[in-house]
Amino acid sequence: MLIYQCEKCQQQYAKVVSVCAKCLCQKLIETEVSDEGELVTWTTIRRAPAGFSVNAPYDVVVVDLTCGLRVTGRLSQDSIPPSVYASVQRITTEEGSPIFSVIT
Amino acid sequence: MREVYIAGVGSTTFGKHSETSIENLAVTAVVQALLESTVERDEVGALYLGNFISGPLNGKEILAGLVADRIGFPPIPCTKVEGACASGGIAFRHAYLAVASGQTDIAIAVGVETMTHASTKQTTVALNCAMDNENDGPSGLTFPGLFGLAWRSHEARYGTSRSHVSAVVRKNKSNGLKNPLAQMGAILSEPEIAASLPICDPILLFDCCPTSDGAAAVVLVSKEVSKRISQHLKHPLVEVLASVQTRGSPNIGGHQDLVSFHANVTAAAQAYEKARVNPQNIDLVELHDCFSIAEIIDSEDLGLVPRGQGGYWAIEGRTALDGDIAINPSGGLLAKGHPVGATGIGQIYEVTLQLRHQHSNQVQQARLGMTHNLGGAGVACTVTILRGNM
Repeated sequence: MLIYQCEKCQQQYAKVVSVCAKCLCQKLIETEVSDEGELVTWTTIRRAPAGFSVNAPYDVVVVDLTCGLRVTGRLSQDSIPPSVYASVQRITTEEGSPIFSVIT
Repeated sequence: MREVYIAGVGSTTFGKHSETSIENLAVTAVVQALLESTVERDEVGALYLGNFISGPLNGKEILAGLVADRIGFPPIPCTKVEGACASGGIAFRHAYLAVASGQTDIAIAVGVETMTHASTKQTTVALNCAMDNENDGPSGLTFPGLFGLAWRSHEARYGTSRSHVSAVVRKNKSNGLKNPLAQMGAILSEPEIAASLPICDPILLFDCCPTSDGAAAVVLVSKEVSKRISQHLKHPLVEVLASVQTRGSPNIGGHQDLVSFHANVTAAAQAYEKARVNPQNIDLVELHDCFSIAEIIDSEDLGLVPRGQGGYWAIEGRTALDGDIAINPSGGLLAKGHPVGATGIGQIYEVTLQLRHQHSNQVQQARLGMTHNLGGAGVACTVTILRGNM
């Protein structure tokens, strides 16, 4: 999974930022990290926001990646049901959102 | 900083006001507060207006100046502030600071929102502007969804169940029945709540506050002015012991703990320190129960209920009107309604009436009251501590 890491203090960001909020360094480097992580929590959205391209219901998940970064994403429709602390893996990215699947 | 007192409050009902323009709704609340305070228009030195989405939903900005113009205020600074659902609380704090710092002897804070005229689609799009749409938005997350995520975390750690959360809904809906300003008071059974429409698991329809129209206002005065007007007032003054605002993460990734909002914890700590009181001294609180689970989290973050015990206290009646700490005797956002920009000032209105011992759902011998207003995904929080003189 592609993230952004501060060249100076190694602080990690899920999305591109112009400055590191920790040390104000302006050099953020694209870094490839493991797609795996632990599911922190999830919810099943039954009413999608207006204009959202995915039909409800779908599961939004919060994942602590192995690298330590906490990200928000969605669970693949093909995944087995989620549970707190389940191991997950990012399988793709859709319109800016990582899509995870529970690892069996 | 100088001592600051609440000399007058005003509020519309919260609910549907489809025949009234947003500025006229605010005007109604301000004029009520002004008349109650006995101060003259020409004496007011500043006006702060809390509002979130008048642009997208009403096609109107410059609301602060618009409202002041309708009332005929002199050419004083009039400022609209925005902090999503905490907009009202932030407006109050600015008015408080204007008086406390000596900038003016009299300031007005007003909050207003109209939402019921808009379609669900329009409202959802507008409300989602309070989300970090770089980090959280692409997943398809909604605000009910945010609290669904928080509930699952709270459940995993503390065992907070549907029964615990429904106890909050039942209490607040019942309290709302006794509040003439409330939009949706009700007596609900646990099965009725459990059978309501699923919104985002485990959040059901009755776990969500309604969308609302409404306005509330408050007149703040210095000690000097309070002495001058006190003989004319028909009610006791209420003192502002602390008015605090803090920032938290705008996105989920920035929250280390999903069963707590850091902005809540820091705001409460600062407020207790400034007011020189502790949580056990607080008689009642109006806190930000935008979703039922939020009341449980907020009550713990504010130190009013032990960590992890929020659901248990609710089910045991310890947060009821006659409990250890009365939480949301107004009905809260769940029953009173949530006209977003008005909510924070509406909370001040409710606590002020409680501390004057004038509330329709009165907490007996109330002397110290608190308000708590939270915006976005926890990005902005205000906490106020008020003291009555009864």
